[in-house]
Amino acid sequence: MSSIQELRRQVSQLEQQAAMDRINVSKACEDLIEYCVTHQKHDILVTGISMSDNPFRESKTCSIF
Amino acid sequence: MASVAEEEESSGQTSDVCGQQRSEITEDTIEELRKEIERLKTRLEEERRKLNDINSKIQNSKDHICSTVASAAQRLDNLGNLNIKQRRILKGHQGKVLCSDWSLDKRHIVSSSQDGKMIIWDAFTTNKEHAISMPTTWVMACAYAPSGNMVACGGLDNKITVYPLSLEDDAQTKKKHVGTHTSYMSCCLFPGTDQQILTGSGDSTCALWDVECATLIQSFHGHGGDVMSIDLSPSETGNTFVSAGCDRQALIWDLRNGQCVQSFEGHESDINSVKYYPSGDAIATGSDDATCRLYDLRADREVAVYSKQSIIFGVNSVDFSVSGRILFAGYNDYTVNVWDTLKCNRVCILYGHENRVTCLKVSPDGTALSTGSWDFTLRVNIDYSSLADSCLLSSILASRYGPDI
Repeated sequence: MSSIQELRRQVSQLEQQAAMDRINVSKACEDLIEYCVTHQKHDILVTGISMSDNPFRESKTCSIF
Repeated sequence: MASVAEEEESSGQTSDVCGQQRSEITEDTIEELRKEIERLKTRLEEERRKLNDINSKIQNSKDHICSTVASAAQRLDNLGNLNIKQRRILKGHQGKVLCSDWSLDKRHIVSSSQDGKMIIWDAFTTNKEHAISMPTTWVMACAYAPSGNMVACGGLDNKITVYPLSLEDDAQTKKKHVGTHTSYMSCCLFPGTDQQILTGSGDSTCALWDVECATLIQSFHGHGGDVMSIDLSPSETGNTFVSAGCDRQALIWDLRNGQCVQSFEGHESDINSVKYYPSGDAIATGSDDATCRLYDLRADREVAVYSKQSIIFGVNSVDFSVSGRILFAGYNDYTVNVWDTLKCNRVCILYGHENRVTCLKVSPDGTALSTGSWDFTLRVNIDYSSLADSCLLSSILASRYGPDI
């Protein structure tokens, strides 16, 4: 009987999923981009190369002593 | 027949229906349910299509990129040249490195290997602070507790074991079994607390365990194949996590009640890795089909595919930079491909490993990337310019510069 239970579980899950609220894809993508743009300036792995403007860059040469 | 099915469902019991009658009902019910599932799947696809208001076909000259988010991100500048270089090699494992995790102190790394060992590294000095022998080979999963005072691991032994870390005692003597799956344990994480562990297993389930009591809090049923990867939602309110595996599905779960709330398909082979976008609104997956994909949770659909015709090897591990702009992916062809998450093009390739890249993780502060491989090593890659941002790191790099330490 476990297969029936499994199928029933699938049905109820799919019913729930089909009924969920969604947003437009354009809005979703804009939000993903927005998050990125907002946080990108603090993302060292992204901004690293364009840090010539960074006032902290000087410390690189004097960090040893 | 449908009414009988409903009756059964409402009473929750079928055992009182007997003999031949029962088998007939069973067959009919199964047939009804299968039809219902197909109908619902079609409806689900229709619902998802309704809200797709972006024409997603961007034809790249060489590769056919069909990516929704890329067409929305056309106005953004391309990422410049990233100068991510290998800064550390962590040598010590006698077998394939299968998993690794950063401590929240941004300095320590735990790694596990096919050799049956778990090693705690100081990633700055490359010192091994603990080496713990497991009773099994193929320690496929390991995780650092948020406090940094404990690590968890497991693998072919089907068990989740925690080791408190202290300088005085041998971690081995303090080990504790928290739970057991009916097949191998493929992944584990601490859900923001030392008190609980979330695991994924080859038995197709995920499970939430209480560490102190060593009891099962909640199990998560729904996958049709081995679970290979899990990740916790980064959003503070969300008590959700994502799991993905050999049934090519990524499932979003409610941690509190064990319910699956969303499912995503699209990959043509096993999903080996899944990771939340830092905002918590999307997930990225890496698969044996040589692609990575991005699924938006609120739009409830795939919004990007990261692939090239020239990339034919499977993806074992994915992770985002802190802003989400970069998607790192470790491949079976020994490389790490660095993708622009939004524009969906490959920014660069990180070379260095001499075998499959099995695991990769961006450090909690987002300044470094650790990678583990079948070549028995872990490597730590740091953006060169980021040295200026950290005195500690700069001084250590100055004194122990160069890859061969």
